Amino acid sequence: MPNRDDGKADVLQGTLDLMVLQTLEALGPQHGYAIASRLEQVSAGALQLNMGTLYPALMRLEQRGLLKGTWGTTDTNRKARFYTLTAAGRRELVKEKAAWDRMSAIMRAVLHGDT
Amino acid sequence: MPIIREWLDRLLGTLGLRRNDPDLEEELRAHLALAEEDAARRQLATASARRAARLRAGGLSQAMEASRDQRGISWLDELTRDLRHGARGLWRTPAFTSVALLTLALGIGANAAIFQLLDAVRDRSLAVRAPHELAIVQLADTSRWNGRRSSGYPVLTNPLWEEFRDHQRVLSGVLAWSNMDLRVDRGLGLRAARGLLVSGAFFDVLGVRPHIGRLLTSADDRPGCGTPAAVVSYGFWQRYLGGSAAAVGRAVVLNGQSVPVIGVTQRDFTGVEVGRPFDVAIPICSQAAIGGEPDWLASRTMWWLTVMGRIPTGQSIEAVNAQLAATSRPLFEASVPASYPANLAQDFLSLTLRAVPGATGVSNLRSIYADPLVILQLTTALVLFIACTNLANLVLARASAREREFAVRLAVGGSWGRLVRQLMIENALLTAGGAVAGLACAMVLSRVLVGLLGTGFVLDLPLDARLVAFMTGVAFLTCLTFGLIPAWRATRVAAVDAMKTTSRGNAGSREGTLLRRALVVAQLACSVVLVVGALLFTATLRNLLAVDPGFDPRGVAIVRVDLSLLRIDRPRRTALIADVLDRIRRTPGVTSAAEVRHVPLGNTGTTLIASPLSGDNAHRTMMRVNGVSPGYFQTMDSALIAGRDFDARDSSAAPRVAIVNRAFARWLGLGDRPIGQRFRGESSPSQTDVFEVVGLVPDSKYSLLREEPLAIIFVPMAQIVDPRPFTDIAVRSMMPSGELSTVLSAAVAEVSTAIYADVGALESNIRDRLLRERLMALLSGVFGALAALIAAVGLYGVMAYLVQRRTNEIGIRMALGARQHAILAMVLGEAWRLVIVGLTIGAAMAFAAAGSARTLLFGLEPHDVRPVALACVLLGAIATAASYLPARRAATMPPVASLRVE
Repeated sequence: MPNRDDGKADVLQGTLDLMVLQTLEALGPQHGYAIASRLEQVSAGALQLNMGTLYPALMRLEQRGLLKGTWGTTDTNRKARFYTLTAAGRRELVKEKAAWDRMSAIMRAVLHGDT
Repeated sequence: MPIIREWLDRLLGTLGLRRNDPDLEEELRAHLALAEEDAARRQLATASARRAARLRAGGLSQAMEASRDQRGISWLDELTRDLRHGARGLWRTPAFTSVALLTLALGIGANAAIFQLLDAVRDRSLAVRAPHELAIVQLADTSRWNGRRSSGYPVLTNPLWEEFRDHQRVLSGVLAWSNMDLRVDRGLGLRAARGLLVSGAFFDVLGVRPHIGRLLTSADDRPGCGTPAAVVSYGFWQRYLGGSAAAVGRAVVLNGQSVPVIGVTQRDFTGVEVGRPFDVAIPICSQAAIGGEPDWLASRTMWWLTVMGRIPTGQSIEAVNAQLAATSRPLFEASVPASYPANLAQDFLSLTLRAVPGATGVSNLRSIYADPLVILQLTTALVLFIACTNLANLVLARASAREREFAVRLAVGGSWGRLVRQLMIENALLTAGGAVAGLACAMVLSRVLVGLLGTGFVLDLPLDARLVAFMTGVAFLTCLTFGLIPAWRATRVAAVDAMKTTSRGNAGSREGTLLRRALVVAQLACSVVLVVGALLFTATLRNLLAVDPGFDPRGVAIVRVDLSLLRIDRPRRTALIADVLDRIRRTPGVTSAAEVRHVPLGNTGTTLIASPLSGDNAHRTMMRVNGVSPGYFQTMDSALIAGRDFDARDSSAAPRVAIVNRAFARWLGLGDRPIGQRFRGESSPSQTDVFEVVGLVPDSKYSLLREEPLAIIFVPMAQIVDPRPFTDIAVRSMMPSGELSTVLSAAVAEVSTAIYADVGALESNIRDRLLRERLMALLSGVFGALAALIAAVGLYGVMAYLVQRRTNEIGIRMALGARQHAILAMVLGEAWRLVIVGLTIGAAMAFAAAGSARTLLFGLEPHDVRPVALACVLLGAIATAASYLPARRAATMPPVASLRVE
């Protein structure tokens, strides 16, 4: 099973959506492979997404109207599906980011006692 | 909301309106390609790069599956897939599918049609505001009641109604009404209209609104009102007034009186009587003006108004009744007839009122047809059950043909639940198709049945929520009945066994054939019940038709002579009727004619309390009376046994005389020699006369063919007071009825063109009165035949199946020297075992059921063995024929061919 090896992080339920949105906010329109590579790179190899996890997530975000997918070509002239943040997606990202920050602050306080 | 958006999108995905599989796959393949490209760019060896990339990316098919799950709603996806699969399966076996659909359509359709009728006749509430609050106000106990009544419904007198209306404090609103047949003159001749005399508050209390114009109010219903206003129903307005708004304000001519139309009632309101929608409503105060004589408004002995009221919100009907009982007395004190002697007045004052629930209104149809319809509903349910068992057998046969398919599917890991679902979906598809077709059948069938009831009844049969709910329930039960057992059975097949199954030997499970045999037994048993029912109802009709009514109705015409439009008083009416009678008698082709107060078997009658002159009060008995003119017994071919017929001597001034029948003579203790004897007769509480018997006639039926011989007193027409502005004349002739009708109408018109004459044949009138019996005989016959047919098909199917399974065994037997007739006997013997078990169970069930229909039967012993025996013989013969075909096929098979079967 991929993603279960030690040293590699499990994708926390719900956090994948946030990471995908943030990646697209940072890099602009990207295809699925680029999103996966970027996350792997940023996490220093800890996050390795297989297609069975990534693509259903992309589809879910698209179904919720947060992303918009369109067919285009890569700079190596390959056909790929590019995902763009929608206005609703941008709003969702801001909201979720704030919620995540608040949550992680709480967790830190609980686990390490520093206020 | 993003979540709602997601699910909407997934719903669209399920319906196939989102990205298709190739599109998804292309994206995933692009991912893999990009990954390889990336790896190659980083200058790794191509083969290991591809491997690494693939490992990281995961499997393509798993990703496809996960994406598909996200695209749609998985259980819905599976359902649509199963539905499509099921529909394809049914489409591939058109013979099975069409037989199943036809069976279900007929079975469900018949059930729904009877349900519609039963609902319309018995259960549906009136189309008024809060119908459950309505109650009918009637006499609590009629055993001490005296008087005359105009209706079969609970009735009060007008003075009593007015007292009640003005003084009652129990109900939150009260109304009264009475039926009255009207004649509308539209310039093209007279037309009958169903009139309603209503109290002023009638529409207001019911909560009926006008479609256009206004409705009657209390201001319209005041003493001496004449004919101020009429309200017409929506249907009448459409049919006869052209449905135009201009009709309001114009006048209609009712019984020769011009009455202004003030409004039209709301579309769905048809009155408070089921089966008789009203055409025109006029105030109660118009009764005398519109009907001429008799004036019932002031009469304290004429009971003709049906009274209803609203139970106040939150009150129970018991509380209302307690209050009604406590407050009745002053009402009766104020309306006691002045002519009553003390004892009758005492009886009158002891009467009290009570309320009974009236949400469904009143109905003659209900009292006549509610019980037969319940029996028919049970019958159709049984037919549907037989159809279901037959279908279960078909489905079992289909399933056993697919046993190998199921076994393979189970063996490769298909789930049992999935398999059962698949089978149930096929059955559900069939049922749904059958239900839709059945609905169409029902709409036609129920209308045909209402048509059979005759033109007098009008029933509204809407396609409403109740019908749909009933259909859904029936369809669900049907599906469970025929679908669940086979589906459950199919999945219990052990995979290994099923895969081994060939036609060699008896490899098929015993359990399977046992089930199929049991189903055939159930079919036969139910068929016995239905066939016995059909025989009983047919015998009832035959017995009733064979009853000797005591006169000969063949060749007798009845002329209804209506003089109400002439608006003349009684002496002049009598003279005119004599004139009409004279003219009819002189018409060529007429053998004899006579006036009659109550046409026999016509469901009307009057009574008289008779007692011997010497006797005491204990001997007073209610006897049927009929008024006839001279020549009546000759006309009816009911010859006098002794004495003389009435003649010109018996005028109104002469001493009162009577002709009595044998039953009356027996009651009076006079035997065969009653002539010259006298008895006392009280025709009303205030009038007692002494009658002299001048003639003796045979017993005859008075109002019903079913009745036992009743004591009947015939009196001369000239000696009774007939308040009706119309009368009936019986005419015996040799002419065909069509011609006779023309000739008689012409004869009446010669006297006055304002006389409304209606000619009918007595024989067909009597036959029409047996409508209920004919309907029961016809329908139970049809259903019985249908049941027998389905059972025969079922038995044939099972026998053919058994023979097929034993082909091999039969081949061996024949190869070893068994004769054809031995094989025939073996197969038939097997069939007969089933038949005998089925018929025995059926006979027991039929005996138990016959008792419940007793009141509808005539001339039959409740536990007569003959119908049951006849049904068993009939079904036994049909079953033998049905199993003979497979048996013969088995016996004539060449042994080599049957051995070779693989």
